[in-house]
Amino acid sequence: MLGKDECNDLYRKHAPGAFRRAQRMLGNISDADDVVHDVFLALFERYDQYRRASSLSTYVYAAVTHACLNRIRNRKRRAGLTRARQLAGLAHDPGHGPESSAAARALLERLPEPLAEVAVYYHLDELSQREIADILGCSHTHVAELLSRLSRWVAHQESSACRR
Amino acid sequence: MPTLNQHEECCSDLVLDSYFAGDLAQAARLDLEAHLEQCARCGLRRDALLAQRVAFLARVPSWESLAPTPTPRLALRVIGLGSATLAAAAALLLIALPKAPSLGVRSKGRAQLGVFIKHDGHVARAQQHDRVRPGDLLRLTYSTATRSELAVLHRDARTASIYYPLAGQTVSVEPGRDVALDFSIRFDAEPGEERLYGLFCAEPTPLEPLRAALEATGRLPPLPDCQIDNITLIKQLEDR
Repeated sequence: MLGKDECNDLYRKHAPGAFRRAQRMLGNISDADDVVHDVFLALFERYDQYRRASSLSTYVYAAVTHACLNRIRNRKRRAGLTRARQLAGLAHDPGHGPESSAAARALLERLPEPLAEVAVYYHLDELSQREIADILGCSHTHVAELLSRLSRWVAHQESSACRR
Repeated sequence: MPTLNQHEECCSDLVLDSYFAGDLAQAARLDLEAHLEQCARCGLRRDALLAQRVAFLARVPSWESLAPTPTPRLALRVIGLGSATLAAAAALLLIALPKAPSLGVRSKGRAQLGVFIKHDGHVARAQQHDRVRPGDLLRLTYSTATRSELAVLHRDARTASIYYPLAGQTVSVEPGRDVALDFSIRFDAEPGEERLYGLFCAEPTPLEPLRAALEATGRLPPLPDCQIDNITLIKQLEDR
């Protein structure tokens, strides 16, 4: 069981990055605060389980991604915009309007689970395939396959949208 | 383990977050520091992330302050979600301002930053060069007669930070008088001057260059399209 000082030490090291990513994915401070709270509560409660991981930063990235994707899906938003570049609209903090961010979140809401996760790491975090493989605990080849499936999924969505 | 190979040679935010957290092995840390020395793009990104870290920890300095219990933090969430009237009520829960904010009332004259300090359970509007103590709680309001692009920057003896907003540029605010901003800050234990700058600009304005200039030179660069209201508080360890 972690003491108060240990909890706050972990929090000060990792929560700022967790909040930044959560706010970028969710689009508002209140939801991002909730995600950070939930992620760190889980971390503190099961810290013995996680401290053996190769990097706590990597763990926090994965946990924030899962929590945000769950929250996005729970919102049941259906914006109907499906262009791949909308994902890139989340890639940098300033300068992107609320419309593009909302559309990107709507796209994440609709993506199947493994593709949504890899889309966040690749388009939002701009991680390398090797870094994504580390977070997902899979091979570099598998990440390349997931990215390929993501491209096909987006292309299919675009062609479906054109037919409508 | 994070590496330096993201998008060819530049480092990812994951690498920088690991660096800030002290998670990088020594060899990786030295590689990163060497890269940051020579790569302007990554150096700027490091500075931007550092500024965001400072702003976040200024807003939510500890794990307890984030917990969803009946604490001031909960009041902050209400502010973020509610209407202007609800925000005013929530502000009173957080710090019972001596005079209720008169939202929606047009103020006359220059745009102003309002500074309220909660000390030993009492709240008072701070004046120029007022004394504050570590642990005092700071709450800010703004007053402006016209729609403005607002930001609040802070400078202490060593660093400058962006207190408001969290994003990298000013945010548009409606006219109002003593409109409470949705965060509060508890002063740390380091004595010295605490300078606050309220920026009321005509156009959206990127903040990181201003923060960097404030940190490097101790003053803001000329901003012809912005009104600047500043107040300096003196933080000291002994009782006021």
